[in-house]
Amino acid sequence: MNEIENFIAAKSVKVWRKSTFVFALMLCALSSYAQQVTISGVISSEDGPLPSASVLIEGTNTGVAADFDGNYTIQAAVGDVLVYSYAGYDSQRTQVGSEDQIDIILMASNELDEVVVTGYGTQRKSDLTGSVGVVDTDEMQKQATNDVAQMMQGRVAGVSITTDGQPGASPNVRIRGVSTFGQGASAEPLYVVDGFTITGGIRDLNPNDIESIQVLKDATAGAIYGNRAANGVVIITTKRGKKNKEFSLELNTYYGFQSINQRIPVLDRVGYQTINAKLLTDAGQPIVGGNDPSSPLYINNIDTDWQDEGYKDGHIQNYNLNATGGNEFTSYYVSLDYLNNEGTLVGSGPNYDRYSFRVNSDTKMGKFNFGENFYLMRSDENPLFFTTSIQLPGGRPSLVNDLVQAAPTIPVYDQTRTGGFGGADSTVHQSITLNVPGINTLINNETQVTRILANFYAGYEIIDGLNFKTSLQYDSSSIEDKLFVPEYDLGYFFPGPVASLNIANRNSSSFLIENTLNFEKTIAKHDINVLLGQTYQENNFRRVGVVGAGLSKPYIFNLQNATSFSVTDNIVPSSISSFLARLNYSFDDTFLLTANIRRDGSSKFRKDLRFEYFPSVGLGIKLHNLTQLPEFITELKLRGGVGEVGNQEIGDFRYQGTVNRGVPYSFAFGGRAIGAAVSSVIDKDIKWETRVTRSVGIDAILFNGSLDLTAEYYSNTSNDILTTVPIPFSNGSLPADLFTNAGSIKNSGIELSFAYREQIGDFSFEIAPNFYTVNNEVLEIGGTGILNSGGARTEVGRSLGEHYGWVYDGLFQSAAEVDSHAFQSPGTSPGDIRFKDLNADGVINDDDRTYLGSGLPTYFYGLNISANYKDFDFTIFGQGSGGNLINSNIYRGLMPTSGYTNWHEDILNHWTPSNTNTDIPRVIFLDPNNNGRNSDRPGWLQKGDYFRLNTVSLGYSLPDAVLDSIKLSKARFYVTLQNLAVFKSYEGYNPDFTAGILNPGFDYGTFPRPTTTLIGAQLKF
Amino acid sequence: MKKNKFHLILASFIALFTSCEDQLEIINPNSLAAEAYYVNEDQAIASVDAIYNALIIDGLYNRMTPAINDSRSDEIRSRSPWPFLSQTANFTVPATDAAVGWCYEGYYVLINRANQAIENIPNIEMDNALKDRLLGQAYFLRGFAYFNLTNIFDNVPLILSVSKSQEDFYPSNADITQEMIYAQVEQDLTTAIATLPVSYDNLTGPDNGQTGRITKGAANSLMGKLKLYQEDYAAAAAYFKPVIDSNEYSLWDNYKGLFSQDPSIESQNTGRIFWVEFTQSENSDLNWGGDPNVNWRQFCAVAPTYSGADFYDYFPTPWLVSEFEKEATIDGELDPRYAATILSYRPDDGLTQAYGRDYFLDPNLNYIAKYTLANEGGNPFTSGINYHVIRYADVLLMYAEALANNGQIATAASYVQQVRDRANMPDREAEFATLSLSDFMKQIEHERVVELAIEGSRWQDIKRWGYLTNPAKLTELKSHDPEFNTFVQGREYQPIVQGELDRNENLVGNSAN
Repeated sequence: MNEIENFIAAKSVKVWRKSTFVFALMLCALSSYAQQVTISGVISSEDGPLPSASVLIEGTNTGVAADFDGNYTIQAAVGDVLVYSYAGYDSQRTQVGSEDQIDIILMASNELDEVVVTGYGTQRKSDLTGSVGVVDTDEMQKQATNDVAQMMQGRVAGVSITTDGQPGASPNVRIRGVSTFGQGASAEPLYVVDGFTITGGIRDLNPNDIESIQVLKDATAGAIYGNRAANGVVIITTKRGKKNKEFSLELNTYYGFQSINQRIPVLDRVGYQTINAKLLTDAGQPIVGGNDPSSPLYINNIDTDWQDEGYKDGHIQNYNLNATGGNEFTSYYVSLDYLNNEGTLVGSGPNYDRYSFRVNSDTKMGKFNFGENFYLMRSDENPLFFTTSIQLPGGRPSLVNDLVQAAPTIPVYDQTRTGGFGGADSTVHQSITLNVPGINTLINNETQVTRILANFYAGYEIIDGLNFKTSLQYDSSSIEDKLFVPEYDLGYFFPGPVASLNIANRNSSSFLIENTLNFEKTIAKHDINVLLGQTYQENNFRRVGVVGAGLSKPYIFNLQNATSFSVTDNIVPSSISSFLARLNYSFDDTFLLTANIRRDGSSKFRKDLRFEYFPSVGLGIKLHNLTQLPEFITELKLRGGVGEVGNQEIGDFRYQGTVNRGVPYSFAFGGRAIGAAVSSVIDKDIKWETRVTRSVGIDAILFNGSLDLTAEYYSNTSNDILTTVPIPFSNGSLPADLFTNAGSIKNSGIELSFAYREQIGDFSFEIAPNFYTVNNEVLEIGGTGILNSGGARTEVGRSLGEHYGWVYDGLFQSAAEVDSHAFQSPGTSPGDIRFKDLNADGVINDDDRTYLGSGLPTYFYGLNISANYKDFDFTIFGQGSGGNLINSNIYRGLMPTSGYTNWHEDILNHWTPSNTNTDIPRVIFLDPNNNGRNSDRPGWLQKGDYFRLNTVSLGYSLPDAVLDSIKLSKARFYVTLQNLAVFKSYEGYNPDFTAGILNPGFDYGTFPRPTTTLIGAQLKF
Repeated sequence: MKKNKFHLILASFIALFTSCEDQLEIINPNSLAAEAYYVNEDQAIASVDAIYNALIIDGLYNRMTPAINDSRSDEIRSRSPWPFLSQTANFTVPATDAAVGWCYEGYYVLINRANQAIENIPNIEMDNALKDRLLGQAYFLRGFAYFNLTNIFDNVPLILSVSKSQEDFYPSNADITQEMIYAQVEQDLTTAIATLPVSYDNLTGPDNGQTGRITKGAANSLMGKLKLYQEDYAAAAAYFKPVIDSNEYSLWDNYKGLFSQDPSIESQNTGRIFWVEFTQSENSDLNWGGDPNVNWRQFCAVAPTYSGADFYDYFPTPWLVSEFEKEATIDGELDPRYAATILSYRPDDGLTQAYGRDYFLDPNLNYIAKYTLANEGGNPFTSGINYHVIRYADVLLMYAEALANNGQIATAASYVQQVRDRANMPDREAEFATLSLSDFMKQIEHERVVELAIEGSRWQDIKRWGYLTNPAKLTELKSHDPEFNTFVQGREYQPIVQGELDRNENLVGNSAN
């Protein structure tokens, strides 16, 4: 026992704490020795030897400590298992064989010394001065999805992810609020994969390949990517092999059922016919035949539940095989993956298949190192078609609205119509609704993507501490889109007399070269790291599309079978050339300084406005190294920074005016002339959009690592925002707006992240909540200082896209009440809504509109709880947001008081002279009082607060004894329930829908997300 | 050695620096730069052709200009579930309805293109005769756009040059009156009349034989109409007369054929003066609006909107039906213009067909036939019927009106009878010649209704004749069409769309806002 006590005494307190479990094992173990061998070797980290690391024979109390250089010697028996451990590093186990030399490299595990990728290098997390959010990829990967971005939802304070629920649609990712008026790419963060900036999103990436994700939230961290860092930077690192590591093979697989459990309560046939007949009768209009019991056309044998007919069960499955290994020079990671997702909508899509293959390798020989990442993927998708792409009449709402609004008196199938699906008849139904399962089955929409993402790097250590590195990347996508629309008849509003085939080829390629010089030196207490670099990126994109129409049956899906054609061709080249420099300096491991500067030139601006500098500086102080802190504080760092980043993610050539030379007009006798006109006004003087970020924060580790805490305040201002400013229609510009630098937006808020871990015997758990707020304020807008978008208005001094409209003041109960109130409309009657006469001028008009609430959530949170008990592991994860009001098109579309589409059950409680205690106005054809206008009437603006229970997962790992007998090193089986429940008051499907920038509170109709029940296995050989 | 390596790297840095920055200058590979345009004859022609293109978008003659005018008249009423159509018809459409702006927006697209042509063509070195003809068309179309704009929206901003910078973007209409806009229309038309040819036949130039381009006859007719609206009857007659005297036009005896979409039929029409061409099915992209492309179809959406059979948007009023029943032909039959105007089931009059097959609609209802495909077959959603903005019969009736108001009722009567003759109506010239002015005007009113029903004329007529401010006439209109029950003074104009007022602080709303 004496030996053991000495051994313990030699360790630091930290090690003691970490070793409690091992120690307990040691105390109760008894051992016998046979076939003793002497083993020696070096225990080191990736950075060098680990002095005084410990080696212990598992199941015994025999152990030794390594010397100052990591050397150890221990006596053990063949078949024994050696456990190597060191504070802050993951323990490693090795079985003793015939060899007498075992060198071990331990990997850092502790938060204290976590290394994060910060762009053009790595930094210890404890040395950071900027805001870097680290995604827990292990937890994240418990969620099954085909999209990496979606997996980040709720994982990092300050990062919001929304999706419209449509399978396969790209989510919106917003870091620290919406900082621009621009849509699409201009509001999305920059993605950097394995050190290379990626254009066009990360949907093609295989989530199984991802080792780590870090989010650079401010300019101190992100300015090194100055040109595109305005919306934050997401750094993704894929898995790599480790040196001196035996070959190991891993198989990960899961299979999940997906079903749509949400239903919006709509009326059945009788309810629908009754309401429709009433609103027509009350307006003195004849009842349409199908809804008139006295008509021979009356329908009494069809009662379609469109939501049941439109949704089906889907499934998702994934098979991933990967191998890693390495010798003293080279390490590698190889992965093969297949993902298959069959969507939950009846019809030909959406479905998604992805095949991917990756090889990463790294080689270091002396002063020379090189390596590559090679990723090849192919996806076959049946994307959900868009109503615009097949030219349905009437500016269709989103498909989901059509589905829930469809009249229950229309059958799904109708063999008498071309195509075999039911539709509305003008005399029987009059209803303008689309048979969604019908159109989705009739059409055939395919997208094939083949993408190669390959990069290569080589480095050389010129002198000690001075490294030169050059990197090349080629990213190429070849995409073919095919959309076939047959002849069909889906009712009088949706005749499809012409079959068409739409083929488009999209080719994009991006070439990137980077050269960096890195100098690292420690002189006494000064740690200096200087980076100089140069990069050049060139992007090319071309889309050639052909629409062939007039194909005849039987259909051959080849354009040669079409009788008329139209062609579009669009070429989009762009390039960026940059210089960058960074200094990381720390004094005495206490005072930290980070300074960045980057100069970018973009082809998207005029020559003299093309270049911009993006500087940033960050300061930090490690208080625990400066002074004596209370004992419970293990580490405490204060940090803060300020900097500027840019945004040039806009369309190309926006500063160049062009002539539209395709303005046709046919004169008589077929004399088709092609005219030309300058369609739109342009601003030749557009320049970089910039964003100034400021943040201060503390990082603390308390109670010897049991509690991690990060708290941060940020305040960011975007200036010269590149956006389209509406200009008066009288200028005749198409579109009637000007793309220019206009406006300024400020986002500020606090971010809090905690992680608390505890181990009680065999039970350990971690609770990791995060919370953040976003306070959005528009400081400046071009033009009139007001931007309108439907019922949303953006005005200086307020947040983006606040709800704007009339104020509800109850229902009129009598004609006298109508007469005594301000004039609303000639047709206003009892049962209509009384709106407030805000300016008291006796007339309700546009001047009586006001702000009705924010469309942007003001707070967001996520909570991850994970626990382990013996061989079981358990995770529960959810996220939510609140503080906003949602204008729900899906609900409002179900509450019209006109028309022939179906209604929400709420309509049954409409006002009648005998049902006056209600807030649902009377139903009357054409809604003469315009009760449907934008207002705060009940139901029109709904609370957006929600909590989504995202993942509940239970896993079981086979114990070591069983593993040994079946020659596996790891075997875990798990069950996961995804999207189990959403706690909300909102009556649409999704409170976390994808929204427009200028109308963030408008849900134009999003598909419900499926609930997934998943079983999976992870096997390591 | 180490130093050399370092220099090498530094040198390569500098090399990359200079070479890469040259790569940042990229010229748009998709389209020609605006600065490089308007240098030759072809481009001058193209810049004028582009103006015509604006005539086929939704706000203009694709749909909304006819719909806004006809639906507000007492000829048709709306049951449309689309609020914009039904609320326009009963004068209650709010300015916040974005569709209110489509018409306004569309005319300014046309004006912008006309201004581009008017600014750039004079600087192009080319054949002077062709240059004059092109400029004449541009001036005519700009004047025409303002004529329609002010008739629909009253005092709109007057934009006479291409908007280039912030100073141009926010025009005011505070000091603009309808008189000022009419004066501009007159100025543009005066230029057009001076430069336009009577016909495009036998010209030297690429436009030779291009029937459908604006002629001197069209410009004179529109100028006459403007003068009539201004109640300057002498001037009006003076502009109509050369149109009639030119012998370019006559009344074609096939009234129904005026509204046929079959080019082999409708091209025989000798009475077309200014019309917009439409085709039913060529090309893929529907020409609702936005930035055009060569795949635009050039179809007309008046047909599905007016058909009533599908969308219940519009129906003829009983009064309109009764106007046709007032007088039979010489042979005692129903006015042949009835079947071309109204679709109904009247076996006694031989009307038993609809859309090229046996009558299948509600036999108790009347539907609109004119500008729909009721008398044709095919896809009822995209019509190829050309839209007649000014046709010869209208000129004859307007000329008659101008003459009568100048005290020449006897001469006027012959022009009225000319129009009646085509429809085989009894010869009552002698009777009309003796009528008082007010009785003659009543006859003119009737003749305009039966000849020009549902062609956008009636609304402008009741407006210019002061019916909307005359209580007795207003009561009469209400009896024709109950939609006038919700008419209030000021609502004779469509409101300026709220979106435009929001975009432009210098703009004031009109009486309908």
